[in-house]
Amino acid sequence: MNMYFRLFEECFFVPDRGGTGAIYNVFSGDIYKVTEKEAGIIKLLESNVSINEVLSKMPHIKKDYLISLINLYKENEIGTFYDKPVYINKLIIDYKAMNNIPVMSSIMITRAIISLSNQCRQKCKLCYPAQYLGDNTCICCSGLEKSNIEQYMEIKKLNKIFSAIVKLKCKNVVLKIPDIEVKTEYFFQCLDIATEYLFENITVLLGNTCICDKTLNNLLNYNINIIIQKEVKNKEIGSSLSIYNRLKKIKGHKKISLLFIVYDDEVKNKLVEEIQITNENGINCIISKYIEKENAINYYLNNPKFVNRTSIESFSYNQYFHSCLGGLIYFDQNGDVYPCPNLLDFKMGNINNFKEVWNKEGLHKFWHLTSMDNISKCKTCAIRYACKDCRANEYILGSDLFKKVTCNKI
Amino acid sequence: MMTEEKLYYTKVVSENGNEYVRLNDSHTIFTSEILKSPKRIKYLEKLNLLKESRFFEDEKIDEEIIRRKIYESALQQLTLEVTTACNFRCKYCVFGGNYKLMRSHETKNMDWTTAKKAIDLYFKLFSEAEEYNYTRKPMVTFYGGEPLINFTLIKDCILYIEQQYTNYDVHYSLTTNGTLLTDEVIDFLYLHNVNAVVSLDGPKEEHNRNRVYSNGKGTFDDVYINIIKLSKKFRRPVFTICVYDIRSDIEKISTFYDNTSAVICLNTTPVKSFGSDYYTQFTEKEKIDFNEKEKKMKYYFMNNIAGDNSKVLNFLDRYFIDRCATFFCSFVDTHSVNGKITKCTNPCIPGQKIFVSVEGRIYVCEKVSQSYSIGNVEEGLNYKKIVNLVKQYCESIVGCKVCEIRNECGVCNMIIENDNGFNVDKAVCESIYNTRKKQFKLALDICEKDPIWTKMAIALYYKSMEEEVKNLL
Ligand code: SF4
Ligand code: SF4
Ligand code: SF4
Ligand code: SF4
Repeated sequence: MNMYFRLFEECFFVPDRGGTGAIYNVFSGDIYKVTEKEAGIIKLLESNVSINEVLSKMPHIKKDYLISLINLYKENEIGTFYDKPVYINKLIIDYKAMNNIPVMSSIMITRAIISLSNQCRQKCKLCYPAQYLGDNTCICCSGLEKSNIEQYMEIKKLNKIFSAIVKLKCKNVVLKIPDIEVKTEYFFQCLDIATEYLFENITVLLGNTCICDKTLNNLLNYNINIIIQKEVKNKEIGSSLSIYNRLKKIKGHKKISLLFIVYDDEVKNKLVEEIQITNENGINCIISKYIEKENAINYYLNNPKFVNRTSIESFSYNQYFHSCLGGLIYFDQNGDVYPCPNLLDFKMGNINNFKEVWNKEGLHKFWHLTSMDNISKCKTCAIRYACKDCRANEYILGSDLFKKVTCNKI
Repeated sequence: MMTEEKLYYTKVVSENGNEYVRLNDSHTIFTSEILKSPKRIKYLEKLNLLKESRFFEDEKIDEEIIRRKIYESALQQLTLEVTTACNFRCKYCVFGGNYKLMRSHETKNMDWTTAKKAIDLYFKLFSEAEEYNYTRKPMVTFYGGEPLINFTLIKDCILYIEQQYTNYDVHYSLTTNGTLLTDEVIDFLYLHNVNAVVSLDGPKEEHNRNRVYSNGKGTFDDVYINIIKLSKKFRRPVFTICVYDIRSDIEKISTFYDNTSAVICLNTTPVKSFGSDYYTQFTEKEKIDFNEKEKKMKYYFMNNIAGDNSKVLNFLDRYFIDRCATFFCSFVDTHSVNGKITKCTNPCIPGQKIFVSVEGRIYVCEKVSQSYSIGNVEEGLNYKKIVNLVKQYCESIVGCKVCEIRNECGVCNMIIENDNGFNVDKAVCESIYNTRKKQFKLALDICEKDPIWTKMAIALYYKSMEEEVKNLL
């Protein structure tokens, strides 16, 4: 009998410019890379070409190979046989259509990052002027916060921001506080206000400051996530590690994460090792390596790329929006609006004239324009809907919003 | 666990003999292979594609919640019933006595004071709602009767808005029977960018069968002359809507539309059956004949589907896509919490559109009977009444919670309203269910025939809908 084989509704074949491709399974989250040979076969099968026809169209393929390949797919539950051509309605949320139908389109902020101050007494190596880049530039102070001209977010403005973003369905708020031990009361006032708005998640990013027990305990009274930045400059990591021993003793420490900033691999490895031994029950640790700008491209080119797992939402969303910038908004202490904390060349407006942020060329357009389908190097790459991309880093290194300079894929 | 509960899907077999299921809770379609795999069904549950009954439990409804929802919907449009008078007596007209709950033909005009208040109210609400949805534009629609009978008022409204609300890019539209499109009217519409959609049921003999003057005389010739004028002025085809019933000859209508460059039929709709005995006039034989004709047309249509060769949709393409368009929207529902106010079915929230009657009372939309107003132009929206109305609605659909199509049934205020208030009529449900099933099969047949063509056609269809949606909401 003439049999057909089709990938399931939840499995997507995405071809690659090199002739290879990838299969995304949005049920399990897995992404499989496929060879050029496999890709050729899948392409035909997916356009309802029967198994026999595949054999006649690809004479260099042996029947046994084809059958065993397809059976492997079947065993892995990514597709099945049909006795006639069939229509497979792929499982995707059509964000493009949603955006183009006037009565459906609506702006949804997924995450708002708000900088409360630019004052800090610490002297992190990466800070001011910002000379370093890392994978987590947006959850660390990243050196862009600090300034000689003192600036705090006015309470009135902060209220304005919260009430504006709540209306755009924002559920996640991130507050950046470089040095919580100056003007501590002010920051707690900000937190009080934030909690009144009933966001689903509030996260505070605390700079490299030596935070005292009183402040920490006060913070833990709030239902928020806390990320504390800790710079580890050299191999003497002992003092840097004392922080989590101290944190562990505090009730409710599960809400705290530590973000270690390191500058070289040796320190990084030592830290990883140490944490594995001494931190058995506890504090969530992120170790992020920062690289001097002039060495960054080289570093990234020589290190493996991070690829996320896939899902119905992310696979769909990433076809129309940038995976990180999509839905993101950043407010500096002035209330000025940017696409992200590190893309400060693209001011989109101010909270005092919020409507302007959403005009024709507004922030929501930016979310779409920066999607991987618009990045010249990535738009024909099979893993673009799961590849981790930091547009800010690329922009800083390549001085073009649509370039990819940290990937050596051909 | 789903294993104990019912799986909420609809199964159909396509023309080619493939079996598919529509998971109505998440608006997704699978081949019925999925039912054989416990692992895949587990994923459906885990990823919220099959909903637990908790998803459909009613939640608190109060004035604040309703207000927020209305604002989030961004006040889609203001519809002004500028007149109840009409110079036609179409045989299927909802105001012609066939529909028990609807008013009968009247001759009242809206006055300027009422219109002005309605406009000011709408823009006040719109500016408040704007903060919830910055990309929306205000939309003002003129409704009748035949709206152009009160053209003076339409003119005054548009001029007032242009002068008073300069910050807004307002979209204007009206649906007209086409006879009152004088040169003066056309010039005005053109100058102020008003999108006029004309009702045209096909060629002369088709159109004139239902669309007649009060003396019974057909209206086609008068309408058609004006369509040509309108099309010349706008330098594009005129958008029309085409209503049909059992006696309509789809073949003739299709030939007419495909050979008349001055018109594009954006929407084909059957005469509304709910709340009317309109269809009792047709004999069984007529119904059979209609179905036969439709089958023949479907055959033509299906045989013309091929690749992406055509860049325009012809009448039959639109006619058949109209019949099953919802099945082509890929808006998968993966939510774990039901964001809708009425957890089952899909009515709009009263107040989301503002329909203002000639007297200045506000109703849910132009299609519902005018027996329950939700405010007026003096006092604005009456949230207390809206909450009551929504609660009544929810009570009357409790039975829907265990219905196979609970999350996507198109029932709304208009349909469940009947002589004894609100309730869901079993016969209506049956008809909705069967229609959906038929539509589902049609959609699958089209997709099976040529998925690439389908993709292209649907994109074109929705592109023109962007225009049309503004008129036919
Ligand atoms: S960065 Fe772009 S080209 Fe490189 S692997 Fe990721 S998606 Fe592909
Ligand atoms: S693009 Fe995303 S990851 Fe990169 S800095 Fe901006 S917010 Fe952070
Ligand atoms: S033109 Fe419209 S309102 Fe007038 S009679 Fe016909 S259907 Fe009714
Ligand atoms: S078909 Fe009837 S029971 Fe089912 S959801 Fe619609 S109105 Fe409710």
